Amino acid sequence: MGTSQRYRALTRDLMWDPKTVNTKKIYPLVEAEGIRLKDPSKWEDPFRMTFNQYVKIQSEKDQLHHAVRTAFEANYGHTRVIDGRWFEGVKAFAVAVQPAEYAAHRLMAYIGRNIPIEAIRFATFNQAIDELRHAQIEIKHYADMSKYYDGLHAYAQTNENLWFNTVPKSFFDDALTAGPFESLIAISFSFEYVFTNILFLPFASSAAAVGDEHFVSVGKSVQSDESRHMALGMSALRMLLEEDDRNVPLIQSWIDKWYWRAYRIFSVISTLVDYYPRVRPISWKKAFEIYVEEQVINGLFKDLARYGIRPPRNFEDSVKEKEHYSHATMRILEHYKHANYFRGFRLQPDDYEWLSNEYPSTFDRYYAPFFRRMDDHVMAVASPGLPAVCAVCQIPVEFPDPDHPERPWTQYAEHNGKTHMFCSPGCKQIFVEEPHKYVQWWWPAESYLNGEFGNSLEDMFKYFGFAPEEANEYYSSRDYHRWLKYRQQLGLDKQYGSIVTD
Amino acid sequence: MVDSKRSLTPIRRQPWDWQTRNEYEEVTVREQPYLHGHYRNKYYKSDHDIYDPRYTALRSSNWDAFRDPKKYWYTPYVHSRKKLADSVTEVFDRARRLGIYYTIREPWKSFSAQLYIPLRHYEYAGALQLQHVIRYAMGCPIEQCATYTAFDKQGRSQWLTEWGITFPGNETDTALQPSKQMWMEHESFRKLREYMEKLLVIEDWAEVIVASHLTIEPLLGRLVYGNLNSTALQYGDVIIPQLSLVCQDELMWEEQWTQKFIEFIVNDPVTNRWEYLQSLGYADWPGDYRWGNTLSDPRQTPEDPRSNREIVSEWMNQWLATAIAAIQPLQMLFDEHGIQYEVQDSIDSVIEETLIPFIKKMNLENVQV
Repeated sequence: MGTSQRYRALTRDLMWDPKTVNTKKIYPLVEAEGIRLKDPSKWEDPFRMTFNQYVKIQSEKDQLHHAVRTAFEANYGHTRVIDGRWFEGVKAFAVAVQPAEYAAHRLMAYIGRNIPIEAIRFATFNQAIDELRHAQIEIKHYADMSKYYDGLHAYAQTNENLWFNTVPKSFFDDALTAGPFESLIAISFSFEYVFTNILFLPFASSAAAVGDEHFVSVGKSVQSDESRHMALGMSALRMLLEEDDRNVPLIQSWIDKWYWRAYRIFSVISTLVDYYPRVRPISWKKAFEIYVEEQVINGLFKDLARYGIRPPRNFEDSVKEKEHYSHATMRILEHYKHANYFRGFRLQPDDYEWLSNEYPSTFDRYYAPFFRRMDDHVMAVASPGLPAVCAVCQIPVEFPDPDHPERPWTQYAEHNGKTHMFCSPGCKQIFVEEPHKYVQWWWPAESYLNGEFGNSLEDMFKYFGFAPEEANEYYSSRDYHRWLKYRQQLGLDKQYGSIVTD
Repeated sequence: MVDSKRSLTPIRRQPWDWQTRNEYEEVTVREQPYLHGHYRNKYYKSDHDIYDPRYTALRSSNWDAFRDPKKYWYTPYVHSRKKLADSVTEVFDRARRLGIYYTIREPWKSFSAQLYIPLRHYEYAGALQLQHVIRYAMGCPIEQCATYTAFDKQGRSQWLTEWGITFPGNETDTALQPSKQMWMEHESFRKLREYMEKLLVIEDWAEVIVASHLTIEPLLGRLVYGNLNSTALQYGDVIIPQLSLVCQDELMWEEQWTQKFIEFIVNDPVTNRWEYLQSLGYADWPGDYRWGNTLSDPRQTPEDPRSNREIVSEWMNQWLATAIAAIQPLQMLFDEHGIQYEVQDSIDSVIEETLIPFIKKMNLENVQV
């Protein structure tokens, strides 16, 4: 019996047409969104993973990763990176990405439960359990960091309550509350297929360049599962497009919405590529050109044209923004670094040089003067209070219009007699199409004004899950001094004489 | 030996502000957010929060306080299942090389094909409905158990299929179509199939756990993966009993955590969901500004007048009677093939040895057995 025939036998024709209850009661959401299915049984899961193969491959992979982690922890690998400021970026990644992995775990189970297609179901179930894996190896990753550094010790509380975390949280909450097909396109296609390469690959190379072996292993181990998830996303998309022509406009509207939604939550990733590592293997701009423009827009969307699918509505905006994205985002982080569990930092001479070389047309002109203001006082650029944020992506509305970088890109829309504010045309369009959904967002500033965070600043930090000393600027922080002290204790800064060769 | 000069003193001994006693708790506790969900479901229970205590009638003062007795998180779970998968592969491989299937005697040979292959549908439906539990259950500690159990069921459904296409069907998938027909049409499976169809439309996630793991699974699982082993051996079948030993491992854990969950929930004195929300800090907020706006006020939520114990007892009562009635007709299959076995004896022993002691221990009043 051939492999594919065997795979089919193991994973298909397992559900049946029920005789005592209505099928629609078993799958109450299948018609809710207007997707039409004709013969989805012909659809194939590209990875053809069985239960036995899954547990064998994954347990070996998992064992390898945890061996790297254990060695890293035993040898205090965190002291060996070339500059401890890297961990401020890792903190941002950790507390934002891990809860997103966990949400994706619940979400994939929801999709698999509600879409009556067995091939999709087993693939989504594998992914559901993978996402739990990612959440947990990421927690293990920063559990060790938390014993030596600030900011992570109440990560779950921080994730629930802090303004910064509403960005990835609202993204996944948006998908979790959508119908199962929209969710599938949102996560499997728009998030996984279009963006996970740029999420995990450049940041993992930065980790390798600065010597963070634990994070390299997290990135690689996670990414090896993502390739399965990407394949699922691609097959799911083609299947829905081929099932019925009337699905095309609906799918297009979801691609339009979720492309911009996903692109926006990766804004912080751009700073983890361009700013936090002291040695940078690639810039955000180049990574965006390779992983998004080349692979996705010029590659994938050319293939999708035959289905009547065009590139996502706002992709040109994201292309224009590549010259500004990391700088504008880092500027936002510097503005609010006193209210975050990870720190900004004063740029060093080599940072200015690299940024200026990589972004010759924008960095010196629009952004360097802002960062220079920190030369005299590291908190000079901080904005008081909590930021005003976009009602869709929930990032502070401080992005410049890429066509006129001296002007803000902020947009407004009226709904039910109230004005709502957005960071960009992309987010505004998303709101205008589903205002009743987006007015439901949880806005920390509003909760703060309603007294939910308590009466004092001290109460507010307690609510966020960290103390004011855990925020602010890195090179003037206690974490920097801890890192120096750890290195000194381990003798890592000892200078050796020159090598005698004969 | 750690060289003390070369060891660093951590700034905190525990990674988190909340107490954890082991790696399992480190990566499980508080993983699910309880507060500040952003939007409501678009198509299903649109007045509920993303993670909402009202998805079940049961109430808890702290959903996160449940613990898996085996402390499975991804790493230990996947390692343990790799071992099980390896041993199933070995059992099938040796049986094939030794040609054991050809030494198995009738009538067990044709009987076992008709009993075991259709159960792939039973396992699959159980896995499917656990995905509903994974989405709507409260807290990672509970839904994580459901996740691994659902995967176990997917695995067993594949093992039964593999057995079905390797042995009785002789390396083809020709056995699967007739076995699906058995499942759909044969009188001996009718009530079991109907049971699973009803399970698939239960909305309350905790009721799914009761109807799946406390009633039908102990009855059917002990019969097909345990009590039948000696009969199988009498007819020279050493394949099914070895597969059964592996499946029993999984079923024992499933039963353990389910019983622990029931113990956890029936002993919680909380009677309304407002008390639970107060424990999250809602009490100090003089009215969440969103209540009445996008969320229904939990204080206005009608509460079930029954206690958790009464609710669980009623579920048990209803589903246990149906489960027994779903298993009994399997006797027809035994009789048709002339296999000397009393299904009722197996049912009685499960009730006697497992269910009654559990019902007594949990004080589930009025459960009729």
